[in-house]
Amino acid sequence: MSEAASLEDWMNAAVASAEELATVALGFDGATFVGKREHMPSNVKSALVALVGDNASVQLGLAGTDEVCQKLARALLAMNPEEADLPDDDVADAVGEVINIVAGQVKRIIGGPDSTMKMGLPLFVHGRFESSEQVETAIADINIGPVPITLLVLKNHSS
Amino acid sequence: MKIVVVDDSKTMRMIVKRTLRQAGFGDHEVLEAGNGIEALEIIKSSTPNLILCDWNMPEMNGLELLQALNSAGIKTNFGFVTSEGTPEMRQVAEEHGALFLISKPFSAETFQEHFNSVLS
Repeated sequence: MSEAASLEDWMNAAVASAEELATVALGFDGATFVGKREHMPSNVKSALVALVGDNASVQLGLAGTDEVCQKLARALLAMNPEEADLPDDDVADAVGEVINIVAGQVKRIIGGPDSTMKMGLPLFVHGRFESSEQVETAIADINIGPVPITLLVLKNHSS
Repeated sequence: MKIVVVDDSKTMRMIVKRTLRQAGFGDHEVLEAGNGIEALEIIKSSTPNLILCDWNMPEMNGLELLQALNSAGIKTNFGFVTSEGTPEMRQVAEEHGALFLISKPFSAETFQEHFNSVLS
């Protein structure tokens, strides 16, 4: 994209990336866009990655309940149903890797022309990220295969 | 043969190892490192046949590791396995001597395409 991407462009890229992740990395049939939402859900754990360059400063995130995060992690690791649940730190690492993969693809889609764009390391928190007046916010629910997650795009107003 | 997998994510190191097995390279010894500094020590002591390295890591990232290997005169088959894969990064990787840059998510077939000639 040769001009600054809109918030919608970023969210569309995130959804497209999640669809590819679902089929290639998680073994699901695909991902389904469920709908936009005004606020992040509560009682979730979240992972976030920053994409920062001369033309944009964006945070990409995903959130899900304990159960959802466990399912994502198990899918990424191709675990069998009879295997015991992963401990919290392994789940955090895996979900962080999920958003890392999504962000990498988004960077290729959106940030391709911006050679200054760099990607941060994933951040995982017990809780949800809140927006502020300094950022534009897009939140959407999607199903990655059978797993319902919430995607978050926080875009600085100046970018 | 020895393969060193470098990634700050334990999950991703497990996925890379699993995909190596799926691609038919399960008989090779796989060593792991969580960042470039750890990897540099392992590489110096083990002389691997192939290094599979993430790009974005704390302490020492993948490019810095490759630069350190080049500075030390350590010649080995090196490739990036990373969530990022812009044309600019591929060019930088190639300029520093990386044989390939594989973008995540990847498949066993991708590993076969890139590693058959290296590990055969």
